[in-house]
Amino acid sequence: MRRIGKLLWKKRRLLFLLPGLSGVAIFYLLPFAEVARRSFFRSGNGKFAGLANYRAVLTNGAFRLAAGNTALYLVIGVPLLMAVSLGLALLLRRLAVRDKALPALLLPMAVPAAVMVLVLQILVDKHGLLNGWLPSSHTGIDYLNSGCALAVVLCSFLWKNTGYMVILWLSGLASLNAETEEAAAVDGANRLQRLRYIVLPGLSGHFFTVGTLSVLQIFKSYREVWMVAGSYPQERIYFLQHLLQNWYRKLEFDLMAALTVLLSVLLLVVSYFLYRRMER
Amino acid sequence: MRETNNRRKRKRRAGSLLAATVCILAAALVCLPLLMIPGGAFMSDMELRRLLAPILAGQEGYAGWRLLPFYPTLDCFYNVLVASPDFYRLFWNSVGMTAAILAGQLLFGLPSAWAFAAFRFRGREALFALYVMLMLLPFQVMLLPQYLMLRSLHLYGNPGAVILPAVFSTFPVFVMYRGFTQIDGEILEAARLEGAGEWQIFRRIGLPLGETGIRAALVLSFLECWNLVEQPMAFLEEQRDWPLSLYLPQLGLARAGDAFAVSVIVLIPAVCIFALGQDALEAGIAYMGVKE
Repeated sequence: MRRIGKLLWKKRRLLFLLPGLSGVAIFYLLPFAEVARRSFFRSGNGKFAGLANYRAVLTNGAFRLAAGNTALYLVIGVPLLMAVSLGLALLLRRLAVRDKALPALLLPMAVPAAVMVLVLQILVDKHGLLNGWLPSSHTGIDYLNSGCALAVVLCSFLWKNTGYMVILWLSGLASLNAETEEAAAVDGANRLQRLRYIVLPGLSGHFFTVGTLSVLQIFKSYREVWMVAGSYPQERIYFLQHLLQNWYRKLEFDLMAALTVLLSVLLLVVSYFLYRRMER
Repeated sequence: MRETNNRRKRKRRAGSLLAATVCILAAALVCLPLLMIPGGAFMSDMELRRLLAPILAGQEGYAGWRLLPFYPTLDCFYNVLVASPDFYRLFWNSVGMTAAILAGQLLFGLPSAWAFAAFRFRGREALFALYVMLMLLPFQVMLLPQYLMLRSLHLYGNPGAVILPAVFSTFPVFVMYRGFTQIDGEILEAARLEGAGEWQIFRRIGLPLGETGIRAALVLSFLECWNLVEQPMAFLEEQRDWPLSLYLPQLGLARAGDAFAVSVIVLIPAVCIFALGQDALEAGIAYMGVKE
């Protein structure tokens, strides 16, 4: 008893961490271990299935469609958000309107998804406001049910998250040494050269923080996609998250377990890489 | 010489005017869609139906909109607030869930964030990397693991099924941690040398100096909890346990008037919290981008 007490006293700092960590273990880590185990078994009869569940996922047509779409959305969406917000941050950083523009840009963060979706539906419907305003569209494009669906999703993603990322970039820009830039300007470096050789290299550490948070936000944007287009949307915006949610409803737990493991291993690798760069 | 200086100055002024215009346009573009909401909430059902007829009935032509209603009425608010008892239950469900989650995050997440920021222990880096990875996982990847766990804890179908996983979400820990890392380590060392206990240091130094990060985490969590959709849909079977954020999509455009009225009511707390916590939010987000 005494020894346990002594040990606790020595490690008392960890008491700050333990309650939260045990919750994380119960609700995140342990269930994962269980799902990883399950992914090698058949849930019907409990028999060992080897890699059969994984094979079933990888040969599944819906999986291939969703994986491709998700990858495309990430590959376009994350750099696009980072570029747009960096551009705005560069414009904003020395302007007096900055303090007025920032809250306006951030405001969409406060708008619940359901409210945003209501407005979006009225805007992009085949008979919606957007088609009414655009002079050329006599036929009326059904944006969410055509090849434009991904563009609509990207726009709403940008709308919601640009302000968030602008603030992150601004904090990075503020940490740069202003004198270096001024000296370069005096020596005759033009705007583009200063951007290319001083500002962007100075921000290199921030790319990973902004990138990480952009990935986080792009996963969160699934909520709006699902609410505006349902469980079976136009095939260009059918993402892995739709697939998992639909398998959950159909109780396809074997497939879900395998896909969950695949995705979390992939994200583990990616986020570890991002984290290493972010904390350096 | 003076001339070129003047020219450069004029050029610079024109440049910043252009930049300001672009920024103001961007801000306006962002806010414009939101202006539709109050108008819709004060319209009568008939007016909305007429404006949205092309969408609702699939008629020829395009829907229209007015920023200000032709006949302003409180009909839709009456429908929602007086005529449908559902609304209050769902509203209080939302309030209860949000309050419970925020309280839990303060109780569990806050000390964890402090431990990561103030102590150096073995495995700290690896553990923190794990927290960052967990925060990136989309909910759907957690769906099956959490479902199985909630089933075995007999929490499935119970508000706890939504609250408890959210309490231990690692994102607020990350935000608060980044706030705490703004504190100069030498202050902590000095306090330790003076013989202050760890609890004392946390309370007297950590909490006051890390307050901005904590408030930013709370604002972000509030906005997230006020907006829960997938979690309650997956883990709560009974509609009477649902939060308001699941009720609104059910109304849809078929009951557009009521939906806009609910939107206004849902937006009010969110915008108030946003306005109150906006400084902390901006600073807290900025900390996330700052190196230690």
